[in-house]
Amino acid sequence: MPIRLAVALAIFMGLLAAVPAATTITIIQRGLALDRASVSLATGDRLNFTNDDDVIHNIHVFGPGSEENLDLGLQKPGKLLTYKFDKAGAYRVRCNIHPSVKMSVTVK
Amino acid sequence: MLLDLLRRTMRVGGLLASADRLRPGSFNLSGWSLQGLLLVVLLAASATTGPAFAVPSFAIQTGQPCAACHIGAFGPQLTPYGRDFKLHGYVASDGRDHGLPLALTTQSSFTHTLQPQPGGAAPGFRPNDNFAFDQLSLYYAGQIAPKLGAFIELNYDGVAQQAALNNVDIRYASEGELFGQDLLWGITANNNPTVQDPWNSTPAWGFPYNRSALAPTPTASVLVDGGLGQRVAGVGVYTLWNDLLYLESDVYRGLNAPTLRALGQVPGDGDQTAAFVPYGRVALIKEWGSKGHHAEIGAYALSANVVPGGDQTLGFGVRKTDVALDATYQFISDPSKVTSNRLSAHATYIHETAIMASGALALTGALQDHWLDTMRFDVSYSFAATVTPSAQYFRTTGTADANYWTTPNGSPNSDGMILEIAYVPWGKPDSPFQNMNVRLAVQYVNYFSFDGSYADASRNNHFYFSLWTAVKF
Repeated sequence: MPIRLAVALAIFMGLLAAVPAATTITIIQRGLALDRASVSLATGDRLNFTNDDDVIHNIHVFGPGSEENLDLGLQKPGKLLTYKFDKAGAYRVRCNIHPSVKMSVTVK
Repeated sequence: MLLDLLRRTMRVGGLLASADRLRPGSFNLSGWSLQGLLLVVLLAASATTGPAFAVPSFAIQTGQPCAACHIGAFGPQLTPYGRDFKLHGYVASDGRDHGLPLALTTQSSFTHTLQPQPGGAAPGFRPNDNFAFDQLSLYYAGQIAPKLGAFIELNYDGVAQQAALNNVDIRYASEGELFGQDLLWGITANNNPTVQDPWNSTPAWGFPYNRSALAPTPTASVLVDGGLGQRVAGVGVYTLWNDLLYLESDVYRGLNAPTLRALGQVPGDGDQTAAFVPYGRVALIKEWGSKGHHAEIGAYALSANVVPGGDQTLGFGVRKTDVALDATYQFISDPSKVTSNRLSAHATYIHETAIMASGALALTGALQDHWLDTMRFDVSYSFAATVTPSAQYFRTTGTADANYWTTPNGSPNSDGMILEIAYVPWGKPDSPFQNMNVRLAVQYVNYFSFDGSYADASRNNHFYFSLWTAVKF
């Protein structure tokens, strides 16, 4: 029994190692700007957006198609917003309140 | 229709007993007791309405405090974000429905000049020490449709006792790419050259942001320095490429006398033109230090055939061409806090050439060619978006001609300084009164020379105490 359990555990760990873990990158929003102008991700990766300013922000994700978009809503100071990029393609991220707060995201 | 709306609004607010009182000269609003009552009424009204900031409807639409868009937490001096909001067509929004973007501001003041003005500072006012209800302004300021927004200001001038359509800037903005870089482009329809400009180094929104209507002002001014404001209508196209290069081109057309009267202007009071007026603008922009430093250097120009107001040239036309340079610098101590300390400096230099119609020379005895230069430089430092001291040096010099200028010795030269300190208690993220904002300011204007005279210049020096309130309906 212990041997079978050890084998099963080894197989499970091997599978875990074989499947690349999704990555989460934190984008810092400070001074009415994002700290990156662009980022490349793999499908399933996530972006965390901080709000280090003292005013309300918004995160709106456009893409990957021209008609697809998701407004993550208003973001009060200190609040963290997260978005998982499930489809490959080109995205744009921007704040609807502050037009210059924007970045591009490429998902492969 | 807008003027009717203003009249109706003022009647509802108890400001006017009849529409006749809006006719120039038919109603003298000189008693301070009445003006004080009007102020109380407006303040009381503001306490019962929605949240308010500098142009309050903009603030409500974006969910941002005044200080996000304005140095000193009160308009019109713009922060980098304020410029961005304007360039993008006044449409940036928090996504919520806030109703029509209507707002109201009032300005009240006390003016003391060093020497009394014989005959009174204005019709219905005393020679000195006058309280005034300077302005009541109604605004449509905000989004009209996606990518389309407007700033439309309707005024009642309490000194001139005149309602008028004031500044208008309606714009459509969109974005794209050019040479792999961001391109913002837009169309503006406006009625005052430079009112559409996002920098406070051009005349329409330049320092001082309010001034006494009951103190003497120098006679000579260049055309682009307000000479065509509300007297023309025009359209223009602008672009901002790579947050580096700003280009704009407009063409204006002078409004005829009946139209000017219908909009509340007095045709003969200022320069009139029936011609097309081209206007151009270029600016280079640079930001550095994690958005802590912002600099702009630019130029603008216009040219117009005008008939100067006040019968200055006996109705003969003058070709005026203005070419100007300007610069802006802003330092933001902490870009992540809208209440951080901010330094702001502006400079502009305008050179005007004026060529009189040849037929006027014999009749007026004036020279055919005149030049007039205006230079201004101001600097302000805003402490916590609450207390903002400012200083400006201004100078106008030009061709002396007793048959052209209406000054005592024929010289258009004036120069002086303006010192101001403004206090704005609210308009910050943690302000306790989110439904209104106020600006209290003391301004001292000191002339070194005035209309060509050094000896009598100081008699025009004056203190101007002002209270500016803002509220959204």
